[in-house]
Amino acid sequence: MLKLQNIRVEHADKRILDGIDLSINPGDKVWLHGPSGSGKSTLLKVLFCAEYFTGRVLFHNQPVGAAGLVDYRSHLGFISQRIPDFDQTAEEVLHHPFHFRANRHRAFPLKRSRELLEEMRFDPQILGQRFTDLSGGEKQRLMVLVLLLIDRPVFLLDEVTAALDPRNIDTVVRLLTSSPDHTVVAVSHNTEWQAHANRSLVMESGRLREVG
Amino acid sequence: MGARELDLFSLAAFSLLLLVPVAIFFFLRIPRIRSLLTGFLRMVIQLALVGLYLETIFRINHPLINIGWILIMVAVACAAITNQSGLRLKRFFWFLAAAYLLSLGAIFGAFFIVLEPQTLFSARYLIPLGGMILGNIMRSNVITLDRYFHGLQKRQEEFISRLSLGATPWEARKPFMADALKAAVSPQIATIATMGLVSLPGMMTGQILGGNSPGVAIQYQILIMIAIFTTATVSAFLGMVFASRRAFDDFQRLRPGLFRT
Repeated sequence: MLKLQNIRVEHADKRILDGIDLSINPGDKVWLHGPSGSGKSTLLKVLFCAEYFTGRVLFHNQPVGAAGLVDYRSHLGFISQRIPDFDQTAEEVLHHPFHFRANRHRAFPLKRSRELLEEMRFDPQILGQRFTDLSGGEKQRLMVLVLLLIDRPVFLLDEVTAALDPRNIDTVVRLLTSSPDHTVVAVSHNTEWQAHANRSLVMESGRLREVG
Repeated sequence: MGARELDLFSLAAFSLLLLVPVAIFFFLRIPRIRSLLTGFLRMVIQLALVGLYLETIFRINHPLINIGWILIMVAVACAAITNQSGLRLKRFFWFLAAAYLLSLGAIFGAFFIVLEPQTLFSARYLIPLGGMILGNIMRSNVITLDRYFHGLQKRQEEFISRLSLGATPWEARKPFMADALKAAVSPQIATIATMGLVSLPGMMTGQILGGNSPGVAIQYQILIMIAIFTTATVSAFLGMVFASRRAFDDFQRLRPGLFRT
């Protein structure tokens, strides 16, 4: 489904990714871990074609180029390590992707959002609070909720459980990996991902190694 | 009736007042005495030169020469804005120049509502109005461009997140544009709201000193403030839109080497 061929990334003469080859199959749940600064987040950005790189990204065996970029990206859902400080209420943050032109034809999945809010043990009053007033963990969980509502075939997740307690980590990891249809690449230091992933990859100094 | 001409000797004597800030700087050991004095010296020389060529331009008073002069001012303002916002001049000059020319052209078009063409294109109106507008929009454009591009660079993940949630490049850039424009126009709105109470603007003071009635001076002040605010907002917005065309590649990645190192 997704293939990386000989990916190299350099920043100011420093090699960040050093010839990465990776093939991801539909439904794969990939746990990507390794020391900080080893290039994990950069690899996710390469998958989203948001990084300057040499090598090729293939989607269903077709190289991703500028022409098919919008279509390619419409299959991906990316949550970054740094959560933006939205100047909106939590409820507005949940709704905001549905105002983008590409999603306007879709009705906001109200029933699903209520189910997920309950499953993720959110206090219903949180919806009225300013996003900036929420804790780091609440912001992360809310972004996961946004991603589950917008529902893309491929999830690219950068440390989405970093600020969560063990119980919430378990819930979030389970929700993101439970569907066999979703392909997931999750960068995380949390070992809870291991139990839910069918592949475990270690990044060290810009090189990728499959373990287990 | 014009303002009474000042005696050059008494103006020189008046300039001795600068010794007071110099003494305070010296007392507080603020290492800015040299730059203060050279700054004022530069100002005197530049204004004297401006006086010389403005007198020539005012004497010739040909619409094409007047417009040519405005174009030179746009080019200088554009170079100053690009440099001060830390962007590379070569990459952005023409894109920003187009934004400033369009917004300035539109505002001069709107001036026809209140001034006849022959009045507007005369040197006495065109050059001071153009100069005041350009001088005032520089600050807001520097703030806007600086905030916009540094925001996109520092909060790249936010930009990517928006794209991945279905935003078009334009929709993904909009919050960054809003942040930048808000930072630039907020101080201006505060200044406008207190005008007359806290500050008597330079143009109005100049007109009153020049012999016009305060009523006429106020009319022109309102006119110029509307023109300045509108042009500042439009030029800053167009500046971001046009510069974005240059700054992003086909993959919506910020091109390397946008900033001066």
